[in-house]
Amino acid sequence: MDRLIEVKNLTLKFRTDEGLITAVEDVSFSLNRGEVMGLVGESGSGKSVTAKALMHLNARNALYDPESSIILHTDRGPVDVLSLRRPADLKVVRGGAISMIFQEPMASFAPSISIGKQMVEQLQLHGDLSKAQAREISVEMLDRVGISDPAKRFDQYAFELSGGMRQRAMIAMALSTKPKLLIADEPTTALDVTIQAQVLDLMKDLVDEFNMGIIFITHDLGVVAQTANKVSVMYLGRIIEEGPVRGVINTPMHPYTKGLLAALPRLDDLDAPLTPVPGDIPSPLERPQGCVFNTRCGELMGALCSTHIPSEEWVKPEHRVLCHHFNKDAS
Amino acid sequence: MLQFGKFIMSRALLAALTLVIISLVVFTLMELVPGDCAERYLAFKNTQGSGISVEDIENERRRLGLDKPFAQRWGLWIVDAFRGEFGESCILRVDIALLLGTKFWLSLGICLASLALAYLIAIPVGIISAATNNPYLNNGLKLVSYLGLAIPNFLLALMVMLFSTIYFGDTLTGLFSKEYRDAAWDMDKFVDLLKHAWLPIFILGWSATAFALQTVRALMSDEIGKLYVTAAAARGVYGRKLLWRYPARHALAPIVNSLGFDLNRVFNELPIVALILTLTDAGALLIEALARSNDQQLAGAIIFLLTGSIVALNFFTDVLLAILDPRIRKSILN
Amino acid sequence: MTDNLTSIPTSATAQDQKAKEAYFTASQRQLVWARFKKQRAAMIAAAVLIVLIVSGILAPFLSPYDPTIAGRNKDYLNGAPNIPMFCDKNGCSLRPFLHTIERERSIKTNFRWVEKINDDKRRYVQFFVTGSDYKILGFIPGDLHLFGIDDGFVHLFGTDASGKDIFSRTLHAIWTSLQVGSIGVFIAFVLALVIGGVSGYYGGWIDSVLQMVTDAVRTVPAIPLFMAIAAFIPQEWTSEMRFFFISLILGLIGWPTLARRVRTHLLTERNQEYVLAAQLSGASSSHIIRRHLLPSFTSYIIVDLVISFPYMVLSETALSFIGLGLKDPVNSLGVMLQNVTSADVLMNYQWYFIPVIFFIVLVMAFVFVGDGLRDAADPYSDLNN
Repeated sequence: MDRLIEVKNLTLKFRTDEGLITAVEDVSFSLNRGEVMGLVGESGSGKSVTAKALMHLNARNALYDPESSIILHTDRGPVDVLSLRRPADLKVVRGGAISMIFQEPMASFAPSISIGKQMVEQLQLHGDLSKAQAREISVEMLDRVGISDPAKRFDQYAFELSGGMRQRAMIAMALSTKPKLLIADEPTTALDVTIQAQVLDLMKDLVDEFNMGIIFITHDLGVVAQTANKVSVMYLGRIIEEGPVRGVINTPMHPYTKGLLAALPRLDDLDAPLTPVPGDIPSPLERPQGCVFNTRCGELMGALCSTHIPSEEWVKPEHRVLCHHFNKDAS
Repeated sequence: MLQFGKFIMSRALLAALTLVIISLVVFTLMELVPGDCAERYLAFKNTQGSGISVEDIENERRRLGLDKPFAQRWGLWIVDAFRGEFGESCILRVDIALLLGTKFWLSLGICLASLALAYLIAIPVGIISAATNNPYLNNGLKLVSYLGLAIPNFLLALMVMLFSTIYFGDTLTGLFSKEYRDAAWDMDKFVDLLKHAWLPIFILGWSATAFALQTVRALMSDEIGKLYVTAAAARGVYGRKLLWRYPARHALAPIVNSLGFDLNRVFNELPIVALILTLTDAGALLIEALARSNDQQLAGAIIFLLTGSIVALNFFTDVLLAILDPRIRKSILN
Repeated sequence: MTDNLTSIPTSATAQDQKAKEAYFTASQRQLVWARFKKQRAAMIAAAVLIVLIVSGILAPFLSPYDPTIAGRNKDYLNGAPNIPMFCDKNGCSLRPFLHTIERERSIKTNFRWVEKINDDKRRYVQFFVTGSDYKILGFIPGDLHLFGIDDGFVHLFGTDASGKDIFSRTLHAIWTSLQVGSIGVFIAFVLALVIGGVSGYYGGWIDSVLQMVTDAVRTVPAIPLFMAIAAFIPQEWTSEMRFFFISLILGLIGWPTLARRVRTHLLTERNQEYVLAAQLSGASSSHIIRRHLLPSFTSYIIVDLVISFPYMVLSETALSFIGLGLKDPVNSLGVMLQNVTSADVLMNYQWYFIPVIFFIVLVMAFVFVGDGLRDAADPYSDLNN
């Protein structure tokens, strides 16, 4: 089965003291095995919330719309993630079929428990392994991600490893249960550039070896260009453009995507002024009417943009965009 | 192992140094008090009818060694104190160590028991409350905390006394029943002690519990919000294991740290509660000695003992933390 | 460029703009006050606190009688509270009144004083009566009292063993406790600023030494130390001297915790980049301390001061209660509670406990206000988004 995960009409609101805040609105996408999808957007665009939703990991005050659906295709058949409520049931998904790695590897390891213990715990949670077997697999995994002297590191604590090693250890721990889908939430943001390159290479190798799917969340278009097959651009909870990575970067459709690409500094013209996307992302409490991007868009089509939500349009076979410019039946 | 031993040694030295500074403070205060030991003793004898003269006072001074210089007397005092000897009480002329004897250990026992009670209640309740976020539980806890803070122990003791007198016509005082008061220590006496001691332990534990509840809950809330807990949940860990193995275990370290300070607080509350519940007329508590005796040798010894207990507790918690927390452990071993 | 919101009338946007401007240009004090106002519990507590403080200051005016021996009612020892009523069997009246208690002694009663209530003879409560002399805050003279009664005494909270009016005593006691607490807090504050400040600003070995001393002093349990010291206060000292001495001791014991806060804060702050930036811009040390460092922790210090107040009050009460603190005629809650533990009182004269309620309210008010201030002053607290 090639199809790995299907997300349809995911809408997610949070109950807060100030009211209901929409974090994700009508998000749909799908991913196949061996595919790497980049999920790009500013802070506040809803990328992490979407990713956590795939494991039903959001906080208790999260409200999912009834039409939202997330179907995960495992070896044992399709799993409707949002219908699972009890953590015992979700074990299949969390750490089993889907693993997640985080931006801050130091913060994602428990400080006073050794790395080995945490890895063994996860393995034993997802299979019938003895401690010795789990230990063997863990050490093997640590070796596989390029950590030197893995047996020694197994007994060490997170604070004893360097930044890059910690990130590798986290990847090792995430992959030890052989997940089908890996969600990487800004895994390289906190690393310096050389380590970043190594980690990205490692991830590409692992995708090939395990035939995993990866959802790579980042705000860095450069990283996406290097690693992803396709990219989805998110803004204020909506996917405003999605397509093959070369396609989107070479021929961006949505004004926001164009703005993001234009904002990148140009190496060939060091004197050119920087052109960021004007304005700031609105507060979630002041969600714009109509198209979510209308408050900062430089290509507005009059009042239409602030009153009507555009409908999705497949401009090319695998390239879709959410913009009135591409809606043939603009009223 | 060797480094660990060195760590323990260094902590012990630090504790000793602190005690030395405290002894200096205490000794100085003892000296500042108008009228030294000799005068006091003889004034006491005076009230009993025997006349005294200035010469008697001088002789007494020489006998007690009070004419030696300050530093020398302090030196002698501190050395003796470390050996557990505090000389003789000014007025009663009885060896202080003998006088205080069991009283000190009883007081310490009651205080430590109330701390244990406080944490026995606060840790599970605080952890569960932070984890479940149940609004009723939360508000209930807040109320208990505020009550615990606002009604100080001695007021609670007073109200308990009022209540028991009105409704039971009896007062729950004293640490021992009459028969056991001066008896030798044995199992029965211990049981009798427990029967009476629950009240002071409860009252002392009252505000300690309120305090501890707030602290545990705040610490747990903090820890639960941290990324490693989400990461563990994302790995499939759930239920009690997720709660206890991850945030709870890390939240407890600061609590271990604060035990010395807690003991300090309980020591502060002990005297009044003891007086109200008239635990003293059983002759069982050393606080009476402090308040009534007007005897600076005794007072100094008591203060030193109390502070020494806190310093000792701090030493133990330091070592305990070093064993439990791998960060500290590793930094020592390197 | 488009507007932020569609189809919203301009006046509201202008108002929004003004509000936002006010927020961004507000001074620190205004911000803290604005945040404090939002917390209902803290505001109520603050109001209660102000009421108590004003009652304390105006205690001589508000109380009908002199709280010392001079104003006692010899005929009504350990008397129950007299609650004025508006109506009785003879009809109602706008002015509250009390019935008269007549004492008689004769052969019939074995020559013991027996009290009888004469419910036909009314005594009306008068307002703004002239009574005993007093000085508010020690220097404003007066003799007007808020209320009194035609004939005899009115004891709203009853009397104690020597006939002193408990209502008057309670009001005066609040003021005394507040005074002692303030002096203690002030002394602790000054000491903490100096010692903590030197320690934190200079660092190095000065810091190490001062820290050892601070920690050592902090370890000594305060109340037993009090008891030891207070037991040695010579009997000859006047009550005023006792008063200041007790406050002094309270302050001397309270400084270590505060000093530690000051020192920690200074140690972290003086290495911050904004200090470096100021230094590079040419600011002098004193300028940096005054305009940059001090404001950064004034709010924490104020919160600490408010929170340590109840502990001072509690300590003084505890000390006075066991007879080692203040004594008559200086009047504090602890002094008032001195006789409460006798079985007699517990069984028969429960009104002795009424001041306890005031005391609890005072302490709770301080705690709530302190908590509210702390939440308002902390820019990272959950309440402030």
